[in-house]
Amino acid sequence: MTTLTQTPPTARNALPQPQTIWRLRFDKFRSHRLATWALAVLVLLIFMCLMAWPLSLYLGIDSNKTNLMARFQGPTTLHWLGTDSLGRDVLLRLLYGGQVSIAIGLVATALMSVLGIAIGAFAGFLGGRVDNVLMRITDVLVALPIIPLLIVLGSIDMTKLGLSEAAASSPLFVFLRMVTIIALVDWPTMARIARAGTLQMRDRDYVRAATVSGAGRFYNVFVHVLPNISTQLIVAATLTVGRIILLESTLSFLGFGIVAPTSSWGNMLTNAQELMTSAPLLAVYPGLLIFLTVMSVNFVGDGVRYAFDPRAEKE
Amino acid sequence: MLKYSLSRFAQAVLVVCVMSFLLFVIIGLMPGDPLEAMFDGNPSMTPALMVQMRELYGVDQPLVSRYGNWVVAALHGNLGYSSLYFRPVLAVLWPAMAQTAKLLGLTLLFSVPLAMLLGSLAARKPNGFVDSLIGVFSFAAISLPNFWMSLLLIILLSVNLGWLPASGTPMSDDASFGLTLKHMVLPVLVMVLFHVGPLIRYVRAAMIETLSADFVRTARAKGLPDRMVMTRHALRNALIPMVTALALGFGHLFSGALVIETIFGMFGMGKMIYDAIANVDFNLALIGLLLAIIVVLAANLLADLAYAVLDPRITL
Repeated sequence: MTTLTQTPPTARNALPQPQTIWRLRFDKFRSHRLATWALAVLVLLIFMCLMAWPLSLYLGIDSNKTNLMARFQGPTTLHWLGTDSLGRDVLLRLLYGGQVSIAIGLVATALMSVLGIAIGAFAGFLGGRVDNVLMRITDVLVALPIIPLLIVLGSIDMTKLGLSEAAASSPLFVFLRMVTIIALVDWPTMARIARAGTLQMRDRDYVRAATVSGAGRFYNVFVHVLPNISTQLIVAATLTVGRIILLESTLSFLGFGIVAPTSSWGNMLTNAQELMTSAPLLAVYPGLLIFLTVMSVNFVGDGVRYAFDPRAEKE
Repeated sequence: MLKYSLSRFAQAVLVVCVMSFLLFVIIGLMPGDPLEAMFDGNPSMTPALMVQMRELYGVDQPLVSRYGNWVVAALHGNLGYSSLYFRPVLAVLWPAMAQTAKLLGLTLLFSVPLAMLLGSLAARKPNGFVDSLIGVFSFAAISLPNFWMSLLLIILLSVNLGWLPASGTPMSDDASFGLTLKHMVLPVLVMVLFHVGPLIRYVRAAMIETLSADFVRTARAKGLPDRMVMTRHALRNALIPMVTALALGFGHLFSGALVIETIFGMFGMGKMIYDAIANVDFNLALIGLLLAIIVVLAANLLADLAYAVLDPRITL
């Protein structure tokens, strides 16, 4: 009797283990070899950037401190990658700059996603005239040249808007301002995706059933529509991070983004043009890091797209 | 068709009106004010005189009436003076537009055929070796900071090897055609790299879709050589949606031109806008930005209409 009631352990193991969707996606992501490597590179880069503060303690250098007696030094035991035109440590400035660039990429993406999803989902769900007007605005904004717009927004004098001089030039405020103007110009891409997804979901039976049962519009959007289009939104957001890091570095390079003494990969290249004959390596490092980071983020984005979309083909 | 065109045109005009007001407000928020820039460092300027000047030029009026004055003047063809160049805005504008048109024209001349070639090569065998190679190339091109690429090419080709000039325009105005072209090589090269990445992916996607269409199978079945099928049947059809992609990417292309013109010191629209904003030249910045927006909108409008003309299956 006892032998019959007991399920043989071998038979149970022969059945495929139930797997969560996240486990399946993770496996699929791992099968995308380029994306897996890119993720490793990205994690390494982020880890290195986070080591900036411990490293500056270990070496005992302040990355913003200028030393005109020690300009353009080659690599030494103290300055591992040498010093720049003001005698500051290049490695530490690269690592701190990376923190700024990556943080802007992530925070601005979060902000533009919230803005874009809110506008796109409600335009799609409400339909009619609201949708029409919002989408015309989106069409126009998508087409406009972003860099000139960001430059003019970046040159706004905040003291004219009633902010004190000190507050307007504090590093935190410069960071927030950068994130805000990028989100303000870049939300339409996300809004389009959110709207298209919402339109697909809006007339599904379960959404109608919810409406009949008395669900309001907000409830429907949050409970029924957004969770169902979340994969598309996550993919779009991942691919946005790379673009925003590029935008930030371009703006900082042009002098309208992060300004000295705070370093960013973009503004470390601002003076590189004048130093090209004397210290060409100073022009190589920051750009190489931007390129590596953006490329890795884009490959990871492609991997996420591949992992999340059952029909997606590998690229 | 006519009705559609007219309504799209009316929409574009409305957008330009709204944008002109928004830009007027934003540019008014740049540091300083036009009169300060004008009389900066003038020793005979007293505060009392400044107040008089403000009144004279109408700078003390409220925002809306200042905007009204500007619109009336602009519609009469008076776009004001550039405080940076001490010349009328229009006199600064025309040469800059010609320069940018040259740069963008040359870029498109190379980037579009290159994207068509690489995109269709990749689409031939999706996920094959060639496709992966081209895929990595287009990803790299998308991820490449164009200003860094310019710096690297200048260091390598101009400073170290001395093959090409580091500036985008020759020093003297009456330089020979060949010399002008030689100066354009680096900027155009970077612009093509910047532009071609997303375009390749677009052509590839369109080609993969077209290649699975029935008429392609028919063409293959009746024994047409592969090259014939690719060029005459597939590519032609895949090109139609590319018109839209090009138009939508026009703003992106213009953004790139701003960066490239600034690095290579080419006096085009992009560098003009950059200099105007960096030096708080209110009139020039406003007109430059507005013009850039008008050009981009016009390109989009034209692409929409061209779409209907090129593809007889579409009715507007």
